[in-house]
Amino acid sequence: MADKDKWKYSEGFLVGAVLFIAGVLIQALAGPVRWTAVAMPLNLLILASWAVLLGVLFLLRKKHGWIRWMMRLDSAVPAVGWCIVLTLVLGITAWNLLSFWGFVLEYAWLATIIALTCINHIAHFSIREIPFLLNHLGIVAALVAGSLGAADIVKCDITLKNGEKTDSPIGIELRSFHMDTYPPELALDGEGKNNGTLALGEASEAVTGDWKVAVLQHIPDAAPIPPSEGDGYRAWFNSGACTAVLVQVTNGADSVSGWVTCGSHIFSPAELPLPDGSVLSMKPLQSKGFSSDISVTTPEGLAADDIIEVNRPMKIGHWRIYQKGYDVWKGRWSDSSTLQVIRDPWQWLLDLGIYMLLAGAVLNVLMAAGKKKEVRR
Amino acid sequence: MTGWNMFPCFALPFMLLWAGGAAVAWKGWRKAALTLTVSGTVLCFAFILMMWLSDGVPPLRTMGHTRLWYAFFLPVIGTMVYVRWGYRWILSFSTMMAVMFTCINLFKPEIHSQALVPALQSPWFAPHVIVYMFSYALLGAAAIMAVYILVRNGKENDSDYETCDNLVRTGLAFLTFGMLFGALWAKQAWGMCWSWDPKETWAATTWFMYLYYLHLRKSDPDAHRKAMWVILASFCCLQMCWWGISYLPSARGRSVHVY
Repeated sequence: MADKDKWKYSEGFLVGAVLFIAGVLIQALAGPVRWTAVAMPLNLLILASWAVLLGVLFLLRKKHGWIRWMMRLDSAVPAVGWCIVLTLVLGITAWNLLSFWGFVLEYAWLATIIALTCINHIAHFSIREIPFLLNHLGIVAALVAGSLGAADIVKCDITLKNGEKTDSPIGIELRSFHMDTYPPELALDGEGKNNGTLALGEASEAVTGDWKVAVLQHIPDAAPIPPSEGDGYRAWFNSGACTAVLVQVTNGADSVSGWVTCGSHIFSPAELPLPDGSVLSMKPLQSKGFSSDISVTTPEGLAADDIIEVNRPMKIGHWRIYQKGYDVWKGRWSDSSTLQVIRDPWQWLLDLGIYMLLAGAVLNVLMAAGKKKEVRR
Repeated sequence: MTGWNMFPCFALPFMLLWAGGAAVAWKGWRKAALTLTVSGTVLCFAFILMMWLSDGVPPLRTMGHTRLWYAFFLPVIGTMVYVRWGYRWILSFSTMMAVMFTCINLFKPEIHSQALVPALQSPWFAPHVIVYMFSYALLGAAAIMAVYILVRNGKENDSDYETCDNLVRTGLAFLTFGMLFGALWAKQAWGMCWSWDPKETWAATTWFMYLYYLHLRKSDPDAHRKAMWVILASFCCLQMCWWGISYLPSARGRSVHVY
C-alpha cells in the first residue's frame, strides 16, 4: 500500500492524550469504572459491538488514511507509550487505576489497534504471519478475557469446620483438615549475637554463635508436666500438643540445660536464658503443607471427592476449589479450613491467550537464533 | 550443613577462571578465553547443583539464590555473544557483573532457613525463576551494549544495533516465558492469573518497555540513540521489578511476592 498518509507518532500521542482527558472527564461525571456492571450479557454485547466496529473499520480502510494509520507502527508505538506511562503510575503510586476510565480507554485503544492489525494480517495470511498472529492475538485474548470477563467471575471464601457442610455457591463438605510442619528451629537471640538459627532435623547437635547446642530429648507432641508431679514435658497425643526439646547448651566451662518449646494455642512457650544474657527459643512451627479432604456437589449435578492443597486445586465442571487458609491461631491443630471457590466462564480465553503468547515467544527465540551470523570483529 | 558454607571454596576459583577468560579475550586468544570462561561457569553450576542436592530443594528462594543464578547466567550469555559476534569486551562485562553478584553473596549472603512455604512448593517454581534470571542476564547484556553504543557516539555500526535487537528480542521472549509461567502458577496457587500486585505491575511495565523498544526500532530505525535510551530505561524498570519494589513505600506490605 503506497500510503501518503500524513499521520505519524505525534497524532498517536495526541489520540492518547485525548483519551486520557476523556477518561478524566468521564471519571468526574460518571464516577469510576464499575467492572461488576459489565456482566453477561452486557459484556458479550460490548464484545460483539467491538468486533463489528473492527470489521467496519477494516472494510473502510481504503477510504480513510487514519484507519490505515491505525494498522501501522506509527499508531502502535505511541499507544504502547501511553499504556507504559499509566502502568508506571500504577506501579509507583499503587493508586487504583484499574477503575480509572483513562487507564481503561488507553488499553482499549491499544487492543483495538492490535486487533485491527491482526485482521489485516489474517486478510493477507501466509505461514510467515503465524508468529505475529500468535504474539498479537494472544495479547488481545488476554486483555478481552481479563477486562470484559471480570464481572462474570464468581469468587468466594468459605470457612468450614471439620464435618461441616455448605450449599452455596456449591455444595462442599469438609471431611478433615490436615497440616504438616517443618522440623522445629531454635533461635539464639541477644545483644551482639548474630541471631543464628538451627534446624532440628536429623542432627541432634549443632553450633550457633559461640554455643554448642545438644538435643537431649525431642518430643514432637508434648504437654507440660503438672507442677504437682514435677517439671519438664512429656508425650501427649491430643489436639493442642506442643513440640518440646530438652537441650544442653555449652560454651567452654559454661553449661546450662532446660526445656524449650514454641508452645501451642493452649500451652505457653518456654525459653532458655543463657549465662551471657542471650536467650534460646523455638520459632513457631512453619507449615510445610496443608490440605483439606472435601466432598463436592455442583448445582449442575456433578459430584466428587478430593484432597486439595496449596498449588493443587480441585476442578469440577466450571468450578475450581482452592485451599486458601486455616485457623492460624491453632496452627497445626486447626480444625477449620478456608477454601476459595472460583467459577470463571472466561478462563478458557485467558488460557488461550497465554498459550498463544507462549507459542509466539518460542517462535521468536527460534527465529532470533536462526538469523544469519554477523561478521566477527 | 548448608551449601553456602562451601561457597568461598567454589567462588574464588570460578571468579579467577572468569577473570582469566576475560583477560585473554582482549589478547584475541579465543580458545583460551572460551576454555577458561566455560570452566568457571561449569564450576559455578557445580556449586548450584551441590546446594540443590544438599538442601533437597532447588536453590531458588532467597535473593541470594537469584543472585547466584544471575552470576551463573551472565557468563553463559557472555560466552554465547562472544562465540556469535566476537566482541572482545563482552566477557569482561559478564565477568565484572558476575563477580559483583558473587561478592555480594560472599559478603552479605542473606542465608535464610530452607523451609519452603506451601505456595512456593510447585513445579512452576524452578522454570519461573530460571527463565527470568536468564532473560535478566540477556537484557543486562543489551543494556551494556546500549551504553557502549552511546559512549562511542557515532563510531558504532549497524551490526552493533543488530546485536542489541537480537539480545532484546531473545531476552523479551524469555521475559514472556517468566511472566506467563508466573501467571499459570498463580492460577494454580491463588486462583487468579493476574492480580496487579506491585511485582506484577512492574513486570508488565518492564515487558511493555521492551516491546516499545522493538516496535520503535522497526518503525523508526534511524532513531538510534533514542532506542538505546529506551533500553536503559527498560533496564531500570527491570531492576525496579526485581528488587526495587522492596524499597518502594507504596508497594511495601502489599506484594504477595515477598516470602
